Parts: sequence; structure tokens; C-alpha cells
Amino acid sequence: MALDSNKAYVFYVSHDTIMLQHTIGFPPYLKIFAELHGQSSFDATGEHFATVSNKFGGEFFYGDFDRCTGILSGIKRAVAPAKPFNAIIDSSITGLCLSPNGQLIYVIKRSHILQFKISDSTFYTVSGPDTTDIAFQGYKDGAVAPDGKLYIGNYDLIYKNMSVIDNPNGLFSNCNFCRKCLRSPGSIGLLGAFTLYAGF
Amino acid sequence: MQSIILPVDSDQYYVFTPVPTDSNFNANWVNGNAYFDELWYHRIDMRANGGAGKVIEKMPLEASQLSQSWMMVAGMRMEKICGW
Repeated sequence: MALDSNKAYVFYVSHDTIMLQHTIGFPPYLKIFAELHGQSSFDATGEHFATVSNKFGGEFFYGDFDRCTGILSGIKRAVAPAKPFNAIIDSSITGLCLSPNGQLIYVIKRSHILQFKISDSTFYTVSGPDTTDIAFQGYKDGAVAPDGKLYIGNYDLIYKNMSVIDNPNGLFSNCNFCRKCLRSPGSIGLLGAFTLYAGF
Repeated sequence: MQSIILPVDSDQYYVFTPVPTDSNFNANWVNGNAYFDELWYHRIDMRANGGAGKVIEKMPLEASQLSQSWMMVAGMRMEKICGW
């Protein structure tokens, strides 16, 4: 995604070639220079796509992806609700991740984590702040790892743990959110937002 | 903002990451407005350096067309499904 043009750039990557295949126009984003929070995501089949920018209105997009042509289609817009509780923590979106089965979108806000059920556009709150407002680190970025679990990082990237969703296909409490359940075992080493590894 | 690692084969990987150009960084970082205006790829061979790996190729990707590159995600294209 390119912030200034509102376009997705689709590259073809092979063993010996990387080439720009085509571009796809998106609905206008709010331009936010130096505001780098946001994510794009595919489901496990690669046939569903979702993307978000850190826009205070809570807006995100999702649609279908044709793996053969690289074309996005049926792009829809949704708006995540504000935090359902009283807290001083910023509620802007900091990440997004599709469930492996492509039926749920995890909308990660600094203050809490939402599930968006695509079939009926319903939001579920998976987790709010995991401690007091002052001590809470904030959530940022999420990705499904090769073990099938969804890992969620911390906002300012300097902590030694991540939260884990054991069953990201499960609705609401069935997803089994586990607060800070991935912990760095050493005395050094910080777990920030992570690089996406395509496991194929 | 995201980076991506893609396997080339069992020993080599591509790493894609957005970066600011030097001119953009020097002009805008102090006031907090430096954006990522280049997308680079690095080809890494994990057999080198006794298994620690080495960057064997790196280059900006279509930089002139990708100002303010921002988020990336990798999809899988299946040659058999697509009939190639």
C-alpha cells in the first residue's frame, strides 16, 4: 500500500524476478505523515484480504483476492466502534489481521481488541486493557504464525511479551485470548511488532 | 508498517522493507515527518557465515512509483490452481 496514492501495488515475486504487476485503487485514506500504524492481511487461503490505516474514525476495508490475477474485488468498508469502556487510552486502530478461515477480522486498537464477523458485520470485544490505564502498554499489530495462533504485539515495542489468541477462528471468547502468554525467556531481547513471514 | 520475509528456496529468502531515502530522512526526520519513500528488497543466503546468513543482493524496488510505501502483505499464487 502507498499512503500518498491510495493504491495497492501488486508485485510478482519468483525465484529470479520481482516485478510490478499492476496497481489497485482504494477509497481515499486520511493522509497522516509519519503515522505508520496499520496493517494488511490475507487469510490462510489467500482469497480474502483486509487492510487498515491508523485513522481515528476506525475505518477499515476488506474484500476478495484472486490469486491467479492478483485482482482485489468486492471491497467493502467498515467502521470499528469506539472503546466500550471508560479509559484514557487512545482508541485508534494500530493493526488488523484476518482469521485463518477468512470469516473474522481482528481489529487491533491501542486500547482494546475487536473481532469483526464478516457475515453479519457484528463486532465483539475480545480484550480491553490488561492492567491499569497508567501501566497498560497498548496493543499493536497482529499476525497468524505458522502454528495457527495469532500473536499481538505491544504499542511502543519495548516489552518482553506478546499476547496470544490460541484459536483465531473461534468467535468471541472461543478464540481464547491469552494475555502476555508469549514471553521472552532471556534477560535481554524485546518483542516488538514482528515481521510477517509467509509460510509457504 | 510491515516488512515481509519470503522464501526463495530452502536456503535463500527475500526480505522486503520500506525505508526513508537519505534526502527524505535528513529533511524531515527532525520534525517527525519523514515517511518511507522507498521499498527495498534484500536477498539473503542462510548458508553463508556458518549458517548465520548474508545479504547477497539488495536493491530498491520501483522506487519512483512507490513514494510513501507503507503496508505490505504476501499472498500465494498457485501455479497448479491457476493452470500455469
